[in-house]
Amino acid sequence: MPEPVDSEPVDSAAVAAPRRPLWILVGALLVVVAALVVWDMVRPAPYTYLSEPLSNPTVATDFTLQSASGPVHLSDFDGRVVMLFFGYTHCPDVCPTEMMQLAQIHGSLPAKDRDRVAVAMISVDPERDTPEVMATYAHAFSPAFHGLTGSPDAIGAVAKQFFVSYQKTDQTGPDAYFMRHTASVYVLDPQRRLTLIYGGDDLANDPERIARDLQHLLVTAD
Amino acid sequence: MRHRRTTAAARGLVWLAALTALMALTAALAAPPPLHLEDACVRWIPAPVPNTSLYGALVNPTDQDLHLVGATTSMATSCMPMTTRKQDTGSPSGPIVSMVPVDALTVPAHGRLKLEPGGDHLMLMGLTAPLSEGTVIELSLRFEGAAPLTVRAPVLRK
Repeated sequence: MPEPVDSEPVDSAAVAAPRRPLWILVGALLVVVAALVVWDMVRPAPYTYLSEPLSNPTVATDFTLQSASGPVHLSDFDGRVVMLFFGYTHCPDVCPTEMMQLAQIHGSLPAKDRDRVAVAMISVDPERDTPEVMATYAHAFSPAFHGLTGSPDAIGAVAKQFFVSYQKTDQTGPDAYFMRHTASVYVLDPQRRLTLIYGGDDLANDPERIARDLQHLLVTAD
Repeated sequence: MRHRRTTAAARGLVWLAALTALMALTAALAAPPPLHLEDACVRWIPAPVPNTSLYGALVNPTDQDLHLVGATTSMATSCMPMTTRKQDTGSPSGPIVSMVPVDALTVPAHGRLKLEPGGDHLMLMGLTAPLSEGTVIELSLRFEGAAPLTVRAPVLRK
């Protein structure tokens, strides 16, 4: 008759003992993985701009142009997001289209952000666009807009900085001609760095997204 | 007897006339509308800016292409068909846009020509008076080989 075995509980404890740290390790890992999953779900996704931000944003060189109420320096707008558009008032198609779209975008911003986004149209036709004409034109789209012009040399230097091209076309008289020109919108962040460039199609297709981009630039600057 | 026969003939004539009128009405309703401009508008522009554009969609139900070559209106000294072109230069600054005068804009047979911002449009040059939103401008559109088309377009901010 075999002897009763009473050492079995001791043996089972001896087997369980080395497993406990393993379970603790597995449990800890599960907690870490769960925490990572939750963090990934709740963390804000990185913001994606409609226009790919320039990878080498450089601070725009200050310039001085003329408005109906006197000289305006680009640096006057430091601390604000600045949208620059180059166009001319005699344009019956693209320029008023983009100005209306800019007014729509600017007007859709919350009031607190609207004051921190400056919009300026710079004439590529300084021969016909006087400061007074530019003021009337810009204010017709939004009283907050700035209409800027200057000497041909001053305009040329500003345009060169933003790689804006322009030239007269189809001239049939001293005052009868069109301009062909780059019609993009250049966005400077509050540190005056050229950050985003929008084409006319961007303005037409996704004005809400552009308004969000501008707000994000302001948040990033705060 | 003769009287009864006459009355029957008169009734027949009345029915025939009614049927003919009905057929004519049906044909009139079924016929496509002639060349016309849909969603017409002249873009509001602040004075003293002298130029603006007519937009809309010209619909041509005829069997032949029609060519818009110009227009006359008391509101502008001249009107010309234009098209806006974009030239991608590869510059990071984006494409260069230019408006190009064209001899004519074609409205295809059984098709339409959209006059829209950034595309084909009719330019009104030398506005004779400041534009007011909501006022209606009358223009006579001229086509090559076809009768002029009178259109009325409201001045809109769009």
